Amino acid sequence: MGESMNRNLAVYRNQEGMEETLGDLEQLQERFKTVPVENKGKVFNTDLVFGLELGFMLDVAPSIVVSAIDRKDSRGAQARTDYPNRDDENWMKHLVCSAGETGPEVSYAPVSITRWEPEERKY
Amino acid sequence: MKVTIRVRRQDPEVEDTAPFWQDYSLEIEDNATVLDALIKIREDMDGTLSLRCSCRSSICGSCAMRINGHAGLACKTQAAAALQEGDVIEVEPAGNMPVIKDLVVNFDLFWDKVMEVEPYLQPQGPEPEGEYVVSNESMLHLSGVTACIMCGACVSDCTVMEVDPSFLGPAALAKAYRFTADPRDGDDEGVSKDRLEQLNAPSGIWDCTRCLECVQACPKGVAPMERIMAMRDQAITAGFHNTNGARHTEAFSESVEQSGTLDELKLVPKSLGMTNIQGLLNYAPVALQALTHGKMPPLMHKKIEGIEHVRRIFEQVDETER
Repeated sequence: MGESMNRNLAVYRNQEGMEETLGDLEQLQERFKTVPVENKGKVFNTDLVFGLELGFMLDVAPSIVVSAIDRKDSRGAQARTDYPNRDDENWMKHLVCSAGETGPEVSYAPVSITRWEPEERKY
Repeated sequence: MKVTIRVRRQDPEVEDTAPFWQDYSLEIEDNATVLDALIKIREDMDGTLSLRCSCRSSICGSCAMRINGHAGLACKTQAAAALQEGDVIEVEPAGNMPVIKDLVVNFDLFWDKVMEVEPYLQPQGPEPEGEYVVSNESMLHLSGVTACIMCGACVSDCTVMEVDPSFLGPAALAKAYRFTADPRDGDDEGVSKDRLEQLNAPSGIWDCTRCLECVQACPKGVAPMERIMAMRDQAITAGFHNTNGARHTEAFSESVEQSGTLDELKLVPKSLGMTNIQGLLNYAPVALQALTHGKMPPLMHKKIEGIEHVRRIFEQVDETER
């Protein structure tokens, strides 16, 4: 999971890579159903903690990927090589990701602009 | 590089809870740290091995343990440099703290002692109109102590805590120095008299035996023992002469100044206080034992030849101190 996410969902992203990771995550979620926990103890059992955490991360990771695929522009920590420009007309909005029946579902929320008008960084 | 990591393990949940050694043979990168090796064991070989770690770059202070008998951070110790005979590296939990499981120890007492020195500024002088202003120079020497990451390596190897768990110990005392040496703490001259009075008590600054283990163990150069010695200086300078420690120091120096060597016979009563009958009586068995084993110091203490040279050293030190 870490390898695939680092490869395709670090700062530079594109459609093809992100779809690859989405597939990887699906496979990993399947494999996770039979993940073993070798340590059966109740005291400082990091084996169990890491097992639980891996499950949580596999739940959350697809929401990053689905949202990043949905957003077809570049801003902040998302630099899409296939959509290199910032597009305020269509994408000046928040993405809200929630757990749906078959996976993460994306909806939108408006950006509340206060004292400082958001603008493109040019440096 | 093929290595054997020999781990001191202990599990409180099995029938036989006694600690035991377990060997793991594995292949690691030439530049791997001891922590890299332990993580590899935990991930690929034995999920039941418990250890604490987080940052892997000697910032967080989680992975202090004994490596080949001495405390240090596993993440700061190169495996290649720690190889012993047969390419073995021995790894044990930190000392002076109870083991929870394998390499994980209970830090409760460690934190209790840090809290005991009240690790926060306590200015007693008049409050300034704005913020407290300190000069750069007066704070520079504190950077060494503030580098402490509370890893417990010094406490692990402290030879006093091993025999006297009530000793405040190197970590808490280094933390105390961070405040006694801060110009904002204490009275309007920056003298932390109340703190120093507390630190003068038994289990405080005078119980260190200057064995240097904490200085050696510390991965951040805090040098706790040197801070403890500095606080002894601060305590005497602040006027606390009436303690065993201060009397011992002064009697020691007086004896060497007058005769060139240590008059052991006079040192004990002078340290305890000449009128401290109870304290002196407690020492009687030790004196008797020394006597029967032929270890009694000579009754007549003689000056060494060339004592005037020793005195010249004292004069010079006095002058530079002033």
